[in-house]
Amino acid sequence: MSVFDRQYQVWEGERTTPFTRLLILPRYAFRDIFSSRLFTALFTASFGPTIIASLLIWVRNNVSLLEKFGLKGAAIADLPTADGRVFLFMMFLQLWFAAILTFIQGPALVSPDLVNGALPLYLSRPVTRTQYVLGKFLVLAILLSLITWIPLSYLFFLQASLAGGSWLFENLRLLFGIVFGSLLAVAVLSIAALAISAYAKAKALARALAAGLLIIPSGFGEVLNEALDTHWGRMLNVVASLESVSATLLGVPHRVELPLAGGLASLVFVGIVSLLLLNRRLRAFEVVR
Amino acid sequence: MSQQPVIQLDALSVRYGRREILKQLTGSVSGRAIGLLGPNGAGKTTLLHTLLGFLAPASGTARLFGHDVRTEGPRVRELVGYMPENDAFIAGISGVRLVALMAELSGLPAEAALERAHEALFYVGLGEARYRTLETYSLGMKQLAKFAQAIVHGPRLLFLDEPTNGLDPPARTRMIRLIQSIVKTGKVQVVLSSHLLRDVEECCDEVIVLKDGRIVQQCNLEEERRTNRKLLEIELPAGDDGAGLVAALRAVGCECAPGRGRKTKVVLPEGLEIRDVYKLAEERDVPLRHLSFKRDSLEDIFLSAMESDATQGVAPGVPPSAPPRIAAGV
Repeated sequence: MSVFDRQYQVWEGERTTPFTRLLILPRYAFRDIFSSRLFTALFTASFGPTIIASLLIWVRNNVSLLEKFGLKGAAIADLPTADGRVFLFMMFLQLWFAAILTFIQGPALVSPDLVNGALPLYLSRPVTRTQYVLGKFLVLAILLSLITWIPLSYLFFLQASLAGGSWLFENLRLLFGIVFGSLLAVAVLSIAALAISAYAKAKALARALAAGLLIIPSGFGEVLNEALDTHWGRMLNVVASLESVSATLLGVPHRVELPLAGGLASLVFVGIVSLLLLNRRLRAFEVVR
Repeated sequence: MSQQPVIQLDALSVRYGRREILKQLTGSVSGRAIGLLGPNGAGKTTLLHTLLGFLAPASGTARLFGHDVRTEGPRVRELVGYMPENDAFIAGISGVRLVALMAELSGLPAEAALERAHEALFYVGLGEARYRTLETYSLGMKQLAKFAQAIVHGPRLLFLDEPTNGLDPPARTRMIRLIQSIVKTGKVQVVLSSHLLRDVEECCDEVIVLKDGRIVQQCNLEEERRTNRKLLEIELPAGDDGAGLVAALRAVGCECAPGRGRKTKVVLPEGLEIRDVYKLAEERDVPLRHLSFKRDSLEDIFLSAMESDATQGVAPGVPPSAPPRIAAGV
C-alpha cells in the first residue's frame, strides 16, 4: 500500500518468529525509559562502582605499580583481594541500584496499559498473555542484568585474567554465586514490580505499595522472631533472604540466621505469588459480574 | 473472495462464571461484510472476544477460516484485525509508534511495520497527526487510530466493535466511508458489531441478530434488497376504478392486499416489472396517486427478530423463522 494511492493491501510478506517478537516490547520500552533524564543519570551512575572496582582490581594485581607507591612484598600480600566478601559487597551495592531503578520504572510497565485499555490491542495479536508478561519482564530483566551480573562477571574475569594461574578454577564458585544470586534477585524484583504495577494504577501508589511490601513484612518477621524466639521470621524479609542465598552461594559467612533453603523458599514464594496476581489481573477485558 | 465460511459456530456456549452469555450458537457466515446486531447485553462483544480467543468456550467450537479459535489462537489472530469498542491506546507514544508496534507484534519485520504504519495512518486520514502522542487525539481521532492499528498488518478479517461509538455526524460519516471503502477492495472481510442499525445497513451485506445470547435472525441483506424490489405500495382512487385495477393486477399474477387508507400493497410475480403496472393503470385510465417500493428495512427485520422467540441452528443465509415482512394478506 503506497501512500499516494491509499489502497488497502493484505500483507503477504514474511512474518517474524514468535521468539523474535519477545524482544519487541523491550525495544519499544527502552526508547521511552531512556527519554527520562533521571533514569538515564541513575543508570549511568550505577556503572560507577564497577569502574572503581575494576581500577582497584587492576591496581591490586599490578605489583610494579604498588612498588612505586613504596609497598613491598608482605605489605602487598596484606592488601584486600577480590574474594567472596568483595563480590558479595559489590553484588549488594549493584542490587541497591537495581532496586532504585525498579522503583522508578517498574510502576510504568503494566499499569498504563490497564488504565488505557491497551491489553485488547496486544492480545488480539498473535501474542499470548504469557508472552506479554515475558516481554514486560524482559524490559526490567535486561536493564537490571546490565547493572548486576554482567558487570560483576566482568570483574570476576578481570580478576581472573590479572591474577593468572589457577585463580579462575579455584574460584568458579564465585562466578556461579554472582550469576545465580543476581539472576534470582533480578527475576524476583522484575516479577514483583510487574505484579505491583498491575494492581496500583497510579505510579505513586505503586511505589508506596512496593515500599510497604518491603518494609511491613520485614517488621512483622522481626516481631515473630522476638515473640517466638526463632529466626524463621526472616523469611518475610526479602533482603535478608537474598543475602542468605547470595552469601551461601559465594561461600561467605553472613549475619542473617536463615539457611539457604529458607532464603530460596522465600524468594520463590514472592515470585509465585506475583505470577498468580498477574495471572488474575491481566485479562483482555474486565468482566463485570 | 473465496466462499469458504469466515466464521463457523457449532453449538458454541460461553459462560462468565455461572452465567451463560452465549447459548449454543450454531451457524456460519461468509459475507464480505457481516453485521452483528443486537441490543446491549445480547452477546455481540462476547462473541467477538470468543473468536479472538479472549474467552474460552464452555462447550462447542468456533472456527475462523477453518481454524479452531481455541487450539489455533495465535494463527487465528494473525489473520484478524480488531478494533475494540472502548478507549484503547498506549500512553505516551505517538500514533505512528502505536501502529508500528502493533504491526510488529503481528509478525511484520520492523522496517515493513513502520512503513505500513505511516501508510495506514494516511489511509484513515491521520497522516498529519501521526507524530502526535495519542493522549492529544480527539475521540474521533482515537477511533481512527484504532482502525489504523486494526488494518496495519493486512488482516483477512476485520472485527469492528461499535466503530462509530461517540462520533459526531461528520466523523461517523468518515468512519462509515472508510469501512465501505475497505469492504469494496474485496481483500478483507469485515464483521461489524453495532447496535446502530444504520451503520450496519450502510456497510453490511449479511446480518446476524443476537438476543439474549442466541441467534434470532440471520439474513443476507443483498437478497433482502433484491426481493424488496418486487414489493410495491400504490395509492388508488376510491371507487370502481381502483377495484378494477386491483382485479387486473391479480389477473396478471400479482398478489394484492389492502393497506392503510387508499393504499394497496402489491407483490409482483417473476417477469412482471413496474412499468407493466403503469401500463395496466393507463389502459384503465386509473390515476396512480402514489407508487413506492415498500422496502423491508433492516429496522423491520431487527424489530421482528426481537419480537420473535430465540431460534437456534440457523442455516447460513436463511432466516430461521421468516418474520412477517408486509402486512398479513399478501
